Amino acid sequence: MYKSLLYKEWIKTRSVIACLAVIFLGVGIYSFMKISESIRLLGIVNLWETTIQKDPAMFPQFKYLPLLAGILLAITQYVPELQFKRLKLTLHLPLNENKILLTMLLYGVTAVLSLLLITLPILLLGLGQRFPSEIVWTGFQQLAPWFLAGPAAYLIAAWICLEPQWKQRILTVIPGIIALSFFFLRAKSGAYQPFDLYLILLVIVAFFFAFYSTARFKEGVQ
Amino acid sequence: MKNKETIYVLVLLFVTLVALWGIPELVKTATYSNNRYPFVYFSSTEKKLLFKEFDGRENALHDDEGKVYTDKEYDAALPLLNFRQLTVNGEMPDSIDGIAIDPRELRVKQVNFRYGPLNKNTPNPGLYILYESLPKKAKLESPGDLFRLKNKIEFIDAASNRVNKQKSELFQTALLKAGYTFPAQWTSGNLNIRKPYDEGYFSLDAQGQLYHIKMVNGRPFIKNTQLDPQIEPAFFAMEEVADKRFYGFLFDKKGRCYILEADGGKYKTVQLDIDPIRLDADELMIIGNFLYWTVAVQTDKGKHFYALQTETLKKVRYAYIEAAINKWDAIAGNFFPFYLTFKDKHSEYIAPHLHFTTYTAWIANVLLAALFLFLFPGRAKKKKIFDSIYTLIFGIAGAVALIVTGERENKIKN
Repeated sequence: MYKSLLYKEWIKTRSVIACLAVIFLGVGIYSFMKISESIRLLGIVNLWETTIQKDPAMFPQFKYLPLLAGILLAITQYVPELQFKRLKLTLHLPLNENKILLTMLLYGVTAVLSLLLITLPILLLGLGQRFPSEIVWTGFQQLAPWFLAGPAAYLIAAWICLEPQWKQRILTVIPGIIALSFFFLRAKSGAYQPFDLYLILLVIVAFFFAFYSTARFKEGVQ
Repeated sequence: MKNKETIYVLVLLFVTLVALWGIPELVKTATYSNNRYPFVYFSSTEKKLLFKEFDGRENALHDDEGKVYTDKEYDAALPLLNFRQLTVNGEMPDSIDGIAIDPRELRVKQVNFRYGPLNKNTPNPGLYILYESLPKKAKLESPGDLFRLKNKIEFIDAASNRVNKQKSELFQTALLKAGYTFPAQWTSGNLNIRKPYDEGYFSLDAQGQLYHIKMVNGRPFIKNTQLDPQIEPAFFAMEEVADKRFYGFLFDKKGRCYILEADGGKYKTVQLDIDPIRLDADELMIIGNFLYWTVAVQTDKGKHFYALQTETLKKVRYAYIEAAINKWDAIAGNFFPFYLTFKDKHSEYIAPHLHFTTYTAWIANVLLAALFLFLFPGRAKKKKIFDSIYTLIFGIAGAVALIVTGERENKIKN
């Protein structure tokens, strides 16, 4: 049954996952082209010195990409469920409803995380070819909150998509957007270090929100 | 669904936390303004601190005894600040207290320095540029490498992105020979190539000894500053002053501020005759000329102004201005018993900070709790009590969260 459920999720999301993979690949290549351009224009010595003094973003192109990937995947996965109340059928499968939702959420989180966890080491290894480990670490610290925004956005979007009542859905969007802004506060590289753990905690907590929406759906709230 | 109540509480707490940050942040954006302290400078002729008030206040120019000045009197009382204007007007005195005013000395003895907690509490990539301190050309040149100094010193060549073993070993040996104990606690210097000259870095070793590290003719220059054991260095700010009187400003763990002077091949500290500052909270500003330094220390409660004699750094005058109550503080003190921030004005790091305001702000929570108890009819008694206690604890944020989570008015389809 789980296999069938996962297959259903795959059918729904495969084209979006493929698109996102192509976008991530394209943006990754473009990022390295920009770094390479900076090396040619400024010279590597100048670029190193500028990087430690002016603290530029190493991969600014990736700032909102994980966020968009998370939202897009959640919409692809859950909006069809809400159309014509298909979710009712899904929840009536001969499986515990919590387990059904858990499988769906784990599928989505795994998809987002796979995309991000494949991209992250490629970016950092690429950066390490021309920059010392301290600047690679700086790059990681810059990317960490942006990449954590991916699963957070997915889970918050799932919570909103599965909410059965329109008025409530709109009300839920507000704290959702504010919570996602925590991943994009203006800060120097490395400033997020004490906060990254709280962001991970937020992602873990957000995992449970969709269960609340489906409970309301199950109760017939409209 | 099982555990629905538990998940509801989780959602409610999440929305409350978001509101605990979001609502005060919005109100703060709408109401917060900086304390507009006057510009203060010590008059070398009047021997008083002179205040220039902003915001169109009456008696905009006055001294620390309340005497009011006209624009012309103010300019004349601060000849070392307004020397260009006074020179143009032909009103610049030749001497002050019998000391002849030399325009060159006036220029090279100028000091402008600012310290704030953000200088100290900030992420540091841990890479530095070591320039040649005795360059063959007039301006500094990039060495083509960076160095790291933690468990050892390593120079990384930019072209190859590899450690320059020869240079690293040269400096590592020199550091060990000078008695430097690894790992380094911190290293401070000025990385900017546009600085007028280079004095390298000051680095605190594992034993709490402050070392001077620079490169002279391509060779390492490493020296223990042999500070007084009473001084436990907490922060050093390099300052390339034109007369090369000192290397920079040193702060110890007790918040005392010193200048670190060169003293015939040795190092000497001269303490500024000001009260210790809180390095993680207070701001310090120094504007100095060849006769006096005006030092301003801004705390949360107010701003202290000191006039120090340039030569001895002994206090000759002092004034204090209490901080005005900010509109934001007043609002927070009335409506938010506590609120959440992620950014702190004393640190570049992002972390959750819970701020507690005043006890009177709890009145707002009590009123809200009463509202939730007596208004909104049609709810179960248990729910009324829960909502009321929740708003009593979390106030406006809790009330907003209860409304946003919408559990009160669900229409259950039969």
